[in-house]
Amino acid sequence: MKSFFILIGRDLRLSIRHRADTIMVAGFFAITVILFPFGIGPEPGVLERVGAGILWVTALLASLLSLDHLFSDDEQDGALDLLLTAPVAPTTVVAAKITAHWLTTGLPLTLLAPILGVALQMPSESTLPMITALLIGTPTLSLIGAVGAALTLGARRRGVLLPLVILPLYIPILIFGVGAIDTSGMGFDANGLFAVLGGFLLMAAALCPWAAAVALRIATE
Amino acid sequence: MHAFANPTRFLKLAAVIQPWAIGLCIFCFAIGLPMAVVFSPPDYQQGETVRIMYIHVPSAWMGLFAYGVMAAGSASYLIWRHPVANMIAKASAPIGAMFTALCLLTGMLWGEPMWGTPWVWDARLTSMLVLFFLYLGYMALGDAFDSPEQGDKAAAILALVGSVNLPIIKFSVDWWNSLHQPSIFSMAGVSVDSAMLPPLFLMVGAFQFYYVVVVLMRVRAQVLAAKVRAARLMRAA
Amino acid sequence: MVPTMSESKQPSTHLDVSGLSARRGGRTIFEGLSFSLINGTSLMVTGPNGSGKSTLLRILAGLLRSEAGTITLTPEDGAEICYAGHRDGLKGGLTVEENLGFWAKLYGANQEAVEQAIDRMALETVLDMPADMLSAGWRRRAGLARLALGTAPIWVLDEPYTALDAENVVRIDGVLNDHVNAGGIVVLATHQAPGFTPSNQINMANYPAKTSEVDW
Repeated sequence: MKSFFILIGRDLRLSIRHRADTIMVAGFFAITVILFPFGIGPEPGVLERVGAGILWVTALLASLLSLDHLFSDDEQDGALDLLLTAPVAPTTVVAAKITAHWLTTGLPLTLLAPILGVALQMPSESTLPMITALLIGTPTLSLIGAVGAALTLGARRRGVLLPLVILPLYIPILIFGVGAIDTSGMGFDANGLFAVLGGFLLMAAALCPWAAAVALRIATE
Repeated sequence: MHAFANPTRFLKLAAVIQPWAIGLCIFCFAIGLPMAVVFSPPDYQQGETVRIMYIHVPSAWMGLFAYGVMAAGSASYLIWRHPVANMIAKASAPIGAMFTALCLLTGMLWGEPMWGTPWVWDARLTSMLVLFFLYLGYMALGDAFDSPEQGDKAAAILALVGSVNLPIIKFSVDWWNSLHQPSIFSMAGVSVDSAMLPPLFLMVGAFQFYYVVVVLMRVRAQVLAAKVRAARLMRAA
Repeated sequence: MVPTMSESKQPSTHLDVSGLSARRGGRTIFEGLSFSLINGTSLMVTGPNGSGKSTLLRILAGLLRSEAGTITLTPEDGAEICYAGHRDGLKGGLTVEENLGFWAKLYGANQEAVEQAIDRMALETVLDMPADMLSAGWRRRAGLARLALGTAPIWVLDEPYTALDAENVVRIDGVLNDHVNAGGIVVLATHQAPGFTPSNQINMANYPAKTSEVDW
């Protein structure tokens, strides 16, 4: 457990040094969301209706962007070999890197979403559900994404391959993430939907670090 | 199972099965297709368009079946390192993707007269669409590495990840569909007249044997390609 | 040197390899490799390019699977391996001190061990420099300083002398020699003869693949 926090500390320190990466992901998220009113017109009724969908789809794409170098930086400078041979379980290494990834992408996106929600004229009642849904849903994105990042490590045309591998697996989170925000926005009880999102998170937390560690082993072979 | 892990032995077995599979495939098509297209009764609601079902339903079944074979083959490749299991998984992917595409296409053709539009986000069709992308991801990942072995292993893991996800995707899409579009008519809702069953089963059989024939051909090609590769490496060394 | 190591080391550490063979890219590159090392000994692995030196070391480190054969570490819980590959694993964005500090924390080494490692590799002047500003030789030294932080008795090094000048080759030799004298085991692959005499030598060219490739 101690090594888990040491590993997170290292990745967080690195992302503070390379803070442009985090800022770029947040910037991509903001500018892409802002594009939608231009694309579909600024009528309040329309934007309000599709706002949650826009936020989630854009969050999926933004989290995908940063997955590209989740493991590849460590792979290129040889640190991955050393981490996998260190006296730490590979699943711990992977879990720590996923946590750090979420702290530097999922969390900033979650905090940015309410501001962008205003731009999309979403009702103020959906602000809290929006934050909650993203808070439960985005870690699952990082977890599933890590499996894809590990599987595509060392592959050709990785930038195109990663979305093809990962995005279909993101669909359930998209469906329930949007559903939870919309249902609460309409004034209905959405606890069941948040519970489903939570269930996805637990399942992903149990399986993904392990699958990603197996994939990393194969990638370093 | 373990006995057929040896490619040469598998090829011998395949050579025995192959002619039978070809014969049965032709037999099922020869009887099933005329029955489906000409002799089976039209649906009392949908009329002649119901005949699309004889392609659509077997395609959907084969799309799922091939993914199941792919996942099982991938698992036994990862656990026991059976080269033949991996070859069967790899051979199933393009066939499964083709059947899934055929299912989507016939679904659209069927939807045109039924819904007045070729594409409706029907829960079943949507799940098949996601399945199609899972196939594409599997095939793209397997081909993306310089070392074929690495590609095989990565793709095998993806097949397993996909098979865990498939029920979750199905559940999500069903829920999403019920929320947005209370189904007026679902393709599953066709009340199948008992006279429709024999041609339907024959078509399923025809598709199934077609799959066996093509998988065996593809595995054979892969074994031969692996031998050529090994021979080249020998010369290079 | 490395006092933390001698304390934690078991009285007898063994590394036994028998009948090892490896496959890379669909062909067998070596076969029937056996050796046995006890604490206080070293092994130099030589051989032409492509003979499998790096592959052997990566198998020992647990990064690669062998095709056949066994690797036995005794005692099972104490005989850990510390691996140093071609690439140093330094993070360019972190300073040398931060890089070493991370590994020290991960290996559970104390501040004293860190200072000794810095001293031994003469890294004082570059401690606050980001690793990506260092030249290749400095990077190598900073990377190898990591070895001295762990408690693993078995060191597996792939071409440790790359990019080092004569003075630093001697420096590394000293560190490796001290580790062996303190009861450790050193396995190194190199083209360059080290300044100390390794107690064992293996030429990978003596273990070519014997079996036919097209076995099916």
